[in-house]
Amino acid sequence: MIHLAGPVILAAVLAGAGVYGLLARRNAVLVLVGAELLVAAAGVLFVAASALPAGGLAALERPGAPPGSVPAADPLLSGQVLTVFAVTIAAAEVGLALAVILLLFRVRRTSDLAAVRELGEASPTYSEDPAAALPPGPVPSGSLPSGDVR
Amino acid sequence: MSAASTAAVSTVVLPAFVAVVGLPLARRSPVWGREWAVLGGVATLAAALVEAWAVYTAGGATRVPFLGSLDLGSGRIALDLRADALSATVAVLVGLVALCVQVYSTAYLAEIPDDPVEQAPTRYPAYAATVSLFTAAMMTVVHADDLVLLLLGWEVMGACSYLLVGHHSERAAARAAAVKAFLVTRVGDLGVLLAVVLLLAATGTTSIPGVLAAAPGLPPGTTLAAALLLLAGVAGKSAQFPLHTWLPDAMEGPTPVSALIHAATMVAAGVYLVVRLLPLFLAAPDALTVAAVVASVTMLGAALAAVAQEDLKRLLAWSTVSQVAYMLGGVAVARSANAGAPAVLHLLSHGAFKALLFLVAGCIAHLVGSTLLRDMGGLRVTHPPLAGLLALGLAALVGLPPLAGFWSKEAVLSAAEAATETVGWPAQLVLVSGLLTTLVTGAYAGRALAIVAFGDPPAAPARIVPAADRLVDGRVDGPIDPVAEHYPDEDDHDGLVPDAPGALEAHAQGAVLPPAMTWPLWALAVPAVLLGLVLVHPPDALRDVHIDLLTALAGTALSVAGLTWGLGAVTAQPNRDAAAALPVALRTFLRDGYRLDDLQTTLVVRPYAALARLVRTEDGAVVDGYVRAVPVLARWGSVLLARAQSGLATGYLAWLAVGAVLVGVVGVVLS
Repeated sequence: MIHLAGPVILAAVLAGAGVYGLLARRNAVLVLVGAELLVAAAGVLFVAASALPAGGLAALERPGAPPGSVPAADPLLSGQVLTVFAVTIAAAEVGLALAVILLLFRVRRTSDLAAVRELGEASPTYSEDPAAALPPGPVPSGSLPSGDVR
Repeated sequence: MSAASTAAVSTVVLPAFVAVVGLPLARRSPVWGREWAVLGGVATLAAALVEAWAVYTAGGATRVPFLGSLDLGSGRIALDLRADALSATVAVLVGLVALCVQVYSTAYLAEIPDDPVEQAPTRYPAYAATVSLFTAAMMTVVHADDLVLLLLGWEVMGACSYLLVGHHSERAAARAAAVKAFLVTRVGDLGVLLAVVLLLAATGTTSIPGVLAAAPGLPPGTTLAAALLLLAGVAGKSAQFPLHTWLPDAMEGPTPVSALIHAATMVAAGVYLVVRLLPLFLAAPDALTVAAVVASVTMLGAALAAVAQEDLKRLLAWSTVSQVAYMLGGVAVARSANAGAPAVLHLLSHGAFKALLFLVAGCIAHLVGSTLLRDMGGLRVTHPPLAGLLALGLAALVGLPPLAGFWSKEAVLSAAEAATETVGWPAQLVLVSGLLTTLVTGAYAGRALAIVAFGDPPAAPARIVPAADRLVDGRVDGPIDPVAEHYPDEDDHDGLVPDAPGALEAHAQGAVLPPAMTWPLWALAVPAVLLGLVLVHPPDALRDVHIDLLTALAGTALSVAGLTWGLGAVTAQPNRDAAAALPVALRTFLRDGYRLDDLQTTLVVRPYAALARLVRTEDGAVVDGYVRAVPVLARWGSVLLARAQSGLATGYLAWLAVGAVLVGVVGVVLS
């Protein structure tokens, strides 16, 4: 049995890296990676917590309890089950997000999130008609018709 | 079901049915509408006569089932009628006056199709239906065996009065008078409503015999409160001080309506209520003392006001206030359960002669085109029968023997005289006030007769208008009538005098009264003359009428004295107005009804209007403000939130992170 600090620190590092990726990165793919890191941190915490006995940390640190009398963990392993479930969903989510990013790149030739702010009412490039705000230039063949982009 | 019961139900149901059917019928065919309304009047009078005959031969019927009963859980309200001597007697009067008025109205409100002058619509169908409905409501009040049923009729009467006073609703004065009549009587009606609730709470029943049987056993405070509340309703409906101000203004209504509602029947309903509930009032003698004081003040004050009126209808209206006060005074000195007979006798005789007087006034107005006294004169020459009927009615009003008014008035005075020892100062007050009022009554009756019947026809006759509906009820200059809206032919006779030399002859002979307007006068003249004969064989309702010889002599002497003074001005040509002897300031003061309207405006109307304005302002500024603030706030909020919509996905994520941290902190702090 390993110490609880390992998984928790791992989760903290993952979450911190994920938040950094979400907030500081401008590339859409890296923002997506940051989100995946947050999901992974949550999964690590789930697995670690499912190894704890019923009653959680309080049950472990009960003063005066004879060693070896730690209550059994949850036999259904619900944390691990949930994590597997989340990983499955995260896989589907990544597929969807990558498809969106791919479309964005096809239309705009960029995956920089700071360059596509036309929908924000407070942004300097806001317009009621986003199609008119498309940058001039050839739209590569194979992309969707502009009507669908809108 | 006995004959009396059937007849009692018929008196209520028939006019109501006539009203409901008559409205669409008269719209479709004016001729049939008139026939139908008159037929309804005949049927109602016939039912009332059958009821009276049945009651006086076979005895009355109490608890006539009418509208079933209401089970309220806390009590059962049986909506029954009753047919006894009192209700049958009054029902005959109501039926007679209603019939006369329906017949009279067919001519008075007739449309003149080829009239060159554009005339106001008469709206006869609505008029006739409302009069029929009023008759039904009055019959309900007269026959009610239950206070709730009585209140029902009482309120419908008030509504009909409102509709009929405001019948010529194109005139602002009529609208104002209708609203005033409605609101002032409504103040009193509230008292009746509260009294019914109080009696229901105290006795557990609203049946009149039940309440009257329980009344002596109730706590004195309860009976006094109920009696005083009822008295408020009586003062409102019967136009007694201080709620009398609506009646002179109600003369804006068509004259037949004034005859039916505001002279003969509805204003007498208040007194009828007191007579009907006399045992309740006897259990609270203080309320009868209040009634005696109110009646004494009203009878003399209203008679004095009548002296100075410049409008025939308003004069008669003030006279009505004064005479109804006689009835109230007569019942206020009663100290036994059937001592209301003098008041009932005066109710009957007043109903007959005052309806006669009003219908005569309508005829005169029809001929002259105005109700102002200054436009009248010489009726003795131009229309002798009409002048004779006017003199007859006024003589009955004054109380000259052997006319109806003599017997009833002296009966009231004798009752007051007889009660001075048992009742004390209230009876003396009523007696003294009543005797003085006979003097003043003689004065104003003599003055009216002198102006209208004697002298020459006015040199400047008002426009001769064939249709009475276009005739203009006279206006009194001054603060009574703050009316800005005038018809062109109002008050402007000076500018409209026909300059032709034949105008006088046309006035004297050209206008002929239709027969429908004359025979109701003769029909009403019969009871106005002969009502005294019922005292030979008094029916049950009038059993306790006694006439004291000395009182009768004193009353008659005072009447004759007043009449002599009023008529004395006849010789002083060209000014036939006896009231001209009074100082101008006093005349104006009396003419304006002691300026009570100004007082009412200051004390009630202005504060109320200010309160209404305040409420309206509050409603607009505060209540509506909340509603109007919602879109404004939403717009501000959207402007504010739109500034956060930067279009930068990482920016949104930053907000999300901040939110997550906040939720985490809150969770940690709260756990």
